Amino acid sequence: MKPIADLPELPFATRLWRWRHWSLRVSLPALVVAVALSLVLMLAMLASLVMGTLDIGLAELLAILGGRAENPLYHHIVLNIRLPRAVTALFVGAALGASGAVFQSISRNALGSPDVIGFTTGSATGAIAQIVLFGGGALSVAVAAVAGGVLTAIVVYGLSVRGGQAGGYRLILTGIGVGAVLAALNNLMLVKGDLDDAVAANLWLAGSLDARTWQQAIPVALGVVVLVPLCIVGARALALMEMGDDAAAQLGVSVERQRRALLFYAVVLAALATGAAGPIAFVALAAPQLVRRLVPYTGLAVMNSALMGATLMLVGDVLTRLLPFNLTLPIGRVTGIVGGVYLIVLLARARRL
Amino acid sequence: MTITQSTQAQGRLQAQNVTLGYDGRQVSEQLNLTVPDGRFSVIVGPNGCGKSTLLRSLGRLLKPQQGQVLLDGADMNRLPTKALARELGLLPQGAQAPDGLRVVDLVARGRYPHQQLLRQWSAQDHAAVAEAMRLTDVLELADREVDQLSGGQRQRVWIAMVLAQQTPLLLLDEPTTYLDLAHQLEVLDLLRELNRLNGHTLVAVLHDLNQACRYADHLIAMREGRIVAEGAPRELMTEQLVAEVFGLDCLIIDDPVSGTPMVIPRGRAG
Amino acid sequence: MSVGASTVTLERSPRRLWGLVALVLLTALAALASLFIGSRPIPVAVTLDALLAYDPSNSAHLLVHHLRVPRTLLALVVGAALGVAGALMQGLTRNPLADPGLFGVNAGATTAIVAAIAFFGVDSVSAYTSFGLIGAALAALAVYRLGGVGGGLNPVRVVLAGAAITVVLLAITHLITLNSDVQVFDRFRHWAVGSLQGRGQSVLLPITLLVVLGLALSLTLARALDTVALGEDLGRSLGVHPVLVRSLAALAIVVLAGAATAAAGPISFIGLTAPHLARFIVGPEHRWLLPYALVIAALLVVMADVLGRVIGYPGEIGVGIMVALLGGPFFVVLVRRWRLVQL
Repeated sequence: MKPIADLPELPFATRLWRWRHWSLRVSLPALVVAVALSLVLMLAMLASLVMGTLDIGLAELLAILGGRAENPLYHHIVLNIRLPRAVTALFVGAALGASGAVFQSISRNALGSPDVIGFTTGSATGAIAQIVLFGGGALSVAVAAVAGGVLTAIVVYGLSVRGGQAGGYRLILTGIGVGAVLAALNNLMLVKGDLDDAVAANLWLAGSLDARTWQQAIPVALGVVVLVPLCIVGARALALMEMGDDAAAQLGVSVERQRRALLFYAVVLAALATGAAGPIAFVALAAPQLVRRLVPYTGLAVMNSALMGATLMLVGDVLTRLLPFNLTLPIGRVTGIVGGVYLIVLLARARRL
Repeated sequence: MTITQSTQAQGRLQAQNVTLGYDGRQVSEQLNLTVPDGRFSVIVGPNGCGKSTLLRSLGRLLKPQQGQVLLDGADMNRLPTKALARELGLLPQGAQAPDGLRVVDLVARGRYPHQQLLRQWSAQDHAAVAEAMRLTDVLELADREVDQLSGGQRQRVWIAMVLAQQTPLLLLDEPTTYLDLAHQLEVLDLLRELNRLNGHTLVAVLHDLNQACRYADHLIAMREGRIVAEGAPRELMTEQLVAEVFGLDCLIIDDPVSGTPMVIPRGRAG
Repeated sequence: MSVGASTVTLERSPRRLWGLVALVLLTALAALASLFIGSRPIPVAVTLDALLAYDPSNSAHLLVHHLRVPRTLLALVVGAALGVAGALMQGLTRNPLADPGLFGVNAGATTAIVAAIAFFGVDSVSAYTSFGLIGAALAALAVYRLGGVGGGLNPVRVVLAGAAITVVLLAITHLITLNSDVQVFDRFRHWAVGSLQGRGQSVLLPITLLVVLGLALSLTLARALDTVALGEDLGRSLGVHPVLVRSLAALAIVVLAGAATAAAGPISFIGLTAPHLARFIVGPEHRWLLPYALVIAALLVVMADVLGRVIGYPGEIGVGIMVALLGGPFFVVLVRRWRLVQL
């Protein structure tokens, strides 16, 4: 082997960071995007805490966050109303973004999202059944949604396993079949159910951040803190699986085990997000795609997708509250409009994708 | 350069009584094979005879329904996958480069089994990638996107990826497809060089019989899932064997360049 | 080899043809059943009379003539349109998840109809159909421009453009229903499940005209599409203009899916799965795939509509729901059992 000095420079897309015998490869554009998104997130977070029917100044906010609040009412509003809402938005977005990135990689499909394996439809089935058939309260609806979604994902995965392998393509098709049956059941319950219940279900289906407390914020926050790092670790193997199962397996990736583990993380992330805020349109689908438009591809961008998802949610929430109209504007639909319009703008401007 | 029949040859990689198949459909039954160490072995046979299936099982991509594939006497399916990937590399058919991935980053992925989460790039990694790209002549393509290359360029990039893996054992499933004749010979010369200079053990599936005869130390002829014959090309290649394996009526002469057997088809065997 | 290959095709063609004939017969049987079965029991003999010796003064005859016949025909037309549109869509985008709704036609029709209900108080089925057609056309136009279908089509780009516009429109729809009177949502939920109930001649005629045009265009494109599927350059060298073929195929999809959605509401499952079922049987060649997808989808819609009336008796269950409830499990079984034909 030749000495290093003789070796040609290789134009890697990633920069190398070394420290002692450790080394990390980092893509510079990805880093820039991550920093930019984090800044936007911090600003949106501040805006989310300051804004509302009651004006709270920045100085006052800092005092409250520092535990030196003078006005107990403000203290209560910030710490028990606005902060849980903002934290829920942040982590729901992050969970969906990361989950979407994993699903798009596994299904090798730009349309991949937790819905590919029927997750979103299944969670809607759980929630609608709880509302229409049993008239459950907010907490039991959230639990039913999570249970419905996870159960559906397990059933779809189970049905698509053959000879020990699920395989991307069969997984997608099974997800379509099961998802269609559940969507039909959902429609049936909406049409045949009592109109008041159907309206309540329609409201839940829109996804919302209203009246979120720490009870909703903490599970999803914990989930993100634990599972997103696991997804980032798994992303290296997943990126190799995008070259085909054989190519990845011969490089030493335990293909089916990795796929199962990452599907599990992604489904749990999506479940926690849905439990906290109801079904949120488009974040899981758009966040990874937006990141891919901004950063040249080197591998699976879990971190940036999570940041992008969080940004979409939080900015969407702030913008909604800024609007002057007296309308019901659930966050789940606003993210649909914001993310959708952003993607439309990107598409309209990009010459080549 | 005659090489004796190598059934008793030393071999790190062995298949013992393996039965292979997909989803209940059996392709091969009770195969036995010892891949001779330090040799360039080539598997030949007609389409659909189970060549690729055998290769995939030797490369632990396909778990045998019965029997086992051994590496250094240990059941391959029990070895840790990453450790195995440092010993044994395989160039599969039909690998796809993700959209937008650049050549150098694809080749670098061959270093995965040598890396860890917090040790993602070492001097050896750099050297291995540079060397693999130099050998396969893709250095000047380094910053191009893989999906924009021609078929032949892409194939060389994939070969660079498995070379960067630096495994003493290397299996290749039709490494010369998509290549023009000059590049076919270039790849085969390269493989022979790896074998002769570095002592790599190679197994390739090839379609062109004459190329197989020219480059192989050891030929493995398959038909309908069975290994019909194996040995040095000079001893193995007879008109009778070609008729039996390929159903081809032919004349065998000495290749005027290399002196190895050369198959001249007359027509399909009646 | 080439001789062998051509005999194989020659041998296989009649089998495919007979398969198609058998499916057509099955569909005809289902259509007959649809004429004889309904929420109001009418004796078989009376139904026969109504078909053969129509008497306008007989109320049962009127019912058969004005409700059951147009409804059955509409089921056939809608099914055929969705099946072919789905097959074209999947071939065009090379994406097994592609549904004809991807060009935004379902979402466009949905939004237009919700807006019509909420803002203009529209509540007749034939008015829904007109608004649905306009909405579908506008949304498809937007996706067409944004997805760059006109110049060198990039499947991922079209898919993303369609998804983006769909999600925006559906979000708007959702917001309209949330912020309007409860009655708006009530009417909308009945349209949104997909139903053939109460669609008379006034819906049937214009929709049939559009669908026939769309089908004619699709079937003439079949061979050209197979050539384009081989790749841009090979297609061009074989004398096919890829951009033109793709643009026409896109147009056919919009006409077919738009008409079907406007007539019967969003029926999502058929366009997605009928082509997969057809591909299981005849493989990916369009000149067989399109007719098979057409007949299979028509059969499924008619059967689902009949069963919806039987199961839901004395009311009925919308055809969109029935299609998915029946087709879904069947589809999953197929996916598990059969070797998949990839696009």
